[in-house]
Amino acid sequence: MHNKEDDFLKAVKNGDSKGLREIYELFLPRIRKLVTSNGGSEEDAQDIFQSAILTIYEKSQNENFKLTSKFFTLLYGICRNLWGNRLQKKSFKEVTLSDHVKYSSEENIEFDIERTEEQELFWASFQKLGEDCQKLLRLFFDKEKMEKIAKMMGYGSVSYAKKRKFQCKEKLIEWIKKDRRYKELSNKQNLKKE
Amino acid sequence: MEKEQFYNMIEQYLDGSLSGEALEAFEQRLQTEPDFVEEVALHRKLQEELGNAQKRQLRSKLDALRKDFTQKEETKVVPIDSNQKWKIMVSVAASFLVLSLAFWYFVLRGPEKPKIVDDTPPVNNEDPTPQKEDQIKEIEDPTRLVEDKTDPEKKTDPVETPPPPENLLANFEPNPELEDLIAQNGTVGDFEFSIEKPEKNKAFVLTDNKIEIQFSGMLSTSAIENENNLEVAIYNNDPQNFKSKKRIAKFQIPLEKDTSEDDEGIAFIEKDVYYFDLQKTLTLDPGLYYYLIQQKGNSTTLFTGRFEAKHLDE
Repeated sequence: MHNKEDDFLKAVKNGDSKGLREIYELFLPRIRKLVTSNGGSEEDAQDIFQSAILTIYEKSQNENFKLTSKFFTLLYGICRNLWGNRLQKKSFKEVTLSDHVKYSSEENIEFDIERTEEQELFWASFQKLGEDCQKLLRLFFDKEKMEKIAKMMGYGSVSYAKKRKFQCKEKLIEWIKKDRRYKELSNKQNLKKE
Repeated sequence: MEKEQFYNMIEQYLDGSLSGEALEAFEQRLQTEPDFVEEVALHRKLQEELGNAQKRQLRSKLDALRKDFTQKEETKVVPIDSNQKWKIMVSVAASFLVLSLAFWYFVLRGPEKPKIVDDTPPVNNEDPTPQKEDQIKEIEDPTRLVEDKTDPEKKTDPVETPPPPENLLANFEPNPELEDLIAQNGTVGDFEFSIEKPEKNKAFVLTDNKIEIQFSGMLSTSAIENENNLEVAIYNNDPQNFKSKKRIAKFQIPLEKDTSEDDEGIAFIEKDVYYFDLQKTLTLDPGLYYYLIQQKGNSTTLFTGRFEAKHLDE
């Protein structure tokens, strides 16, 4: 395997700006073509590309993960799957699913993609929250002490901060569960268990 | 149980601060209640994802890149060519105005002000057409340099640096004809290049008048029959040099077909993907150079790029 292939992986793993830019320059055009020539928009192409990079990031966090193909082949495979799945849900047109399954079988991409889709759902729901809730939850998930959160948010008391934290989190979870994608994802996971 | 307490309990369990009987009861429920398991899992995943600072950072970097790389619908609809035509039209009008003003100034003032004659050689007044062409390109070129932000070394604008010897400056003068070819990248036939190296507008440092240049990247096409058919030719910036096809060097580009996606690619893209990677040493004078990727025996240029060769102190 060429060194440069591992360099791409490293760039994603370490969030190296220069390397990421190179990845966009080199590979986005073909992904754009893949998506836009299959019923997607520029927006869709950008979404897919970003999700695929994040999927590779998650994979790269596993110390044992190694590229078994060219970086682009992995990226392309993930994008195909992601777009195939989303297309199917949108049911824009019939999707030749057998093709996607075939593609995913070797890499076990399916699991990674589901995780990515779930995380996208988390963020989309998070964005629906008010600014106040977003700020508070960011601090909470960063494991700041409640005392500090109360201070930073300008709340009068710690108990009010705790109350607000609960309300915001509840709202977040409500948004997530309301989303069609959540049911689909948990259905899939249940099927796997059985 | 109050929902708020329920949340708190899950959070305590997840950060390991649940103990004693409470922990036992919690684990008991994990064994027996699938909904409970799902709820706990959701809290855990939320914490893992939203509390992952490193990944959040990556996300914001990707968001920024996305902005840079998003194709506006406009630019998609309006091809770059007609954009340029517009620019050219404005430039033509502008340069025509300048020329006619200069001409009238010259005619009215006559020989009293010879300085102006020096600035705009009389030849151009007699035959303005070619001069206009040249001026248009010269007007356009600075904007191109500004657009090319990728390479910081590129920003060494010859005007701002202490004036190098005159012939050196001329060696870095863009060749309008080749600049036009660069603008046409991606529009020629069924050839889609992703050039990894040399980087866009790369400035090489000369060592003993030599540079090591690498051509690598990816080609996606359905139009290649012979894998040994692609070559790269290198020209300097001198328009005469290009017109007379006096290339500085020419290499065959060895293509390596990507077989990994061959079977799966059919449904979406009926194209072959090739990789190439070759490295060459070139002996060059300092200056601006262009490389043109062509098919053997066919003068259509498929991809054009530019690079500079410089001494360290330039």
